[in-house]
Amino acid sequence: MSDTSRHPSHELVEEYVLDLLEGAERANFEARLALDPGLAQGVVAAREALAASALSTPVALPPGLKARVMAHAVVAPAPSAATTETKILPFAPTRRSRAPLWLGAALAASLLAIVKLSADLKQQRATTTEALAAVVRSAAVVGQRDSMIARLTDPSLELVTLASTGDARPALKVYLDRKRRTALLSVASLETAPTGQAYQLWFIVDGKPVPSVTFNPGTDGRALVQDVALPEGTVVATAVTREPTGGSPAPTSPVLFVGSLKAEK
Amino acid sequence: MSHAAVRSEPEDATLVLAMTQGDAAAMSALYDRYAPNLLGLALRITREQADAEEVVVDTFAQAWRDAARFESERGSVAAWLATIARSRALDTVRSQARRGRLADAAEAEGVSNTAPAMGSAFPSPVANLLADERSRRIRDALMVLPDTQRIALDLAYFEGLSQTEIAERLGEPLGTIKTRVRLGLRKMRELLTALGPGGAG
Repeated sequence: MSDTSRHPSHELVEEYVLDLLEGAERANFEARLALDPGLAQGVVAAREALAASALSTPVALPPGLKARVMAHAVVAPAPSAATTETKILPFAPTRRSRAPLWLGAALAASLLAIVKLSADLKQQRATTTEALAAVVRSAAVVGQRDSMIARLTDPSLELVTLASTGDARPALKVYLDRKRRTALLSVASLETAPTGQAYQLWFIVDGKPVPSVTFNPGTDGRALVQDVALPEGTVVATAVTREPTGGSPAPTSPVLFVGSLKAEK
Repeated sequence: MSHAAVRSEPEDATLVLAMTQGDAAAMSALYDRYAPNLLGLALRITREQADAEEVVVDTFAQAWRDAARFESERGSVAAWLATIARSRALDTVRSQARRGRLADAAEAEGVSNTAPAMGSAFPSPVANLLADERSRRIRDALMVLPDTQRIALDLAYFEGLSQTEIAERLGEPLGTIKTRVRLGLRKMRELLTALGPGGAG
């Protein structure tokens, strides 16, 4: 990663460790923190200083406190054990659908009709099939567009505009659908990545970058990536870096764009 | 910090790792190392012995539950425990709606504008601080901090006030408070670094 020590976020380390950053400012800081080892180092050092100071006034322990601590804590199951429980659900017979009955009848009726008319329709069949296929294709496209429009106009959708960390002014927007745990990435005016490289989207979860899709705009600078899966956990920000084609498990280059999300309800 | 800080961090991390396997002895050892310091921190925030003890109980309960989530690259075990304890103590104070009452009391006593502040000796009700050389050295080092910076840090860390609230409390501009917090913590880091390895942890 390149030298990012002069980034304004470094001026916010003290406020961050004291929990004095809020909202978007905090989310932006955490997004950068997840991708900037120098910043992370500064945060660790500041936390250690605070802890050393805060813990510099030991007091005598009252009798019985240790017993309370041990009883209270150890009675609870260890975390690794607690989270691996598998729920066993009661078996429920699959509800039989009625669809095959009427569908079968309809198919049978259609078959008879087709047989009866087969001779007359023989000449027209090829044309009809072709037209039907075209209609189906068109319907699919329209359906996809309708679906996308419906999703983009869903009031629960969250729009995150990723701001450039440099001088470039491309527009990157992420439409988040937290209910379906998917996102749509829209890119405009972004230059194509150099040969052997691609842009990679990251979601920041628990202070760590989680790799997502790679993308590359066309010559018109545009790209649209649908159905991007959201990772598990609370996503607090998104970011984009440039990585080798195929993507990286962890960022290897500076953050180009970053955008914070609203706090998840 | 007490004898805790002179221990090597890998040992602490090893204890936490053992806790993830349900090792109660590891938890007991961690308690012996850090409980006096954590109780001191909790007392500083809650100002009541019973509340502070409850905070220590809760802190170790959470450490036990969340041991698997501890990541040494994000800081020391001491800092991790301090973060938990501070959060629990502030929750306690807030949940009891005591902040206003405590602030009034503190103001009446002149606490906000004088001692105790970051790194200074808190006049504990139990008043029997452990004689610990390292803790004393840390406290002495931090006494070099200008009062204005120590007070701003104190209000942010021990009372959990926002910078706006600190500005209102002290009747100072917000920008001034931000500067004090920033410079104060940076100075603190420098002072503790000067104490040598482990000075800040």
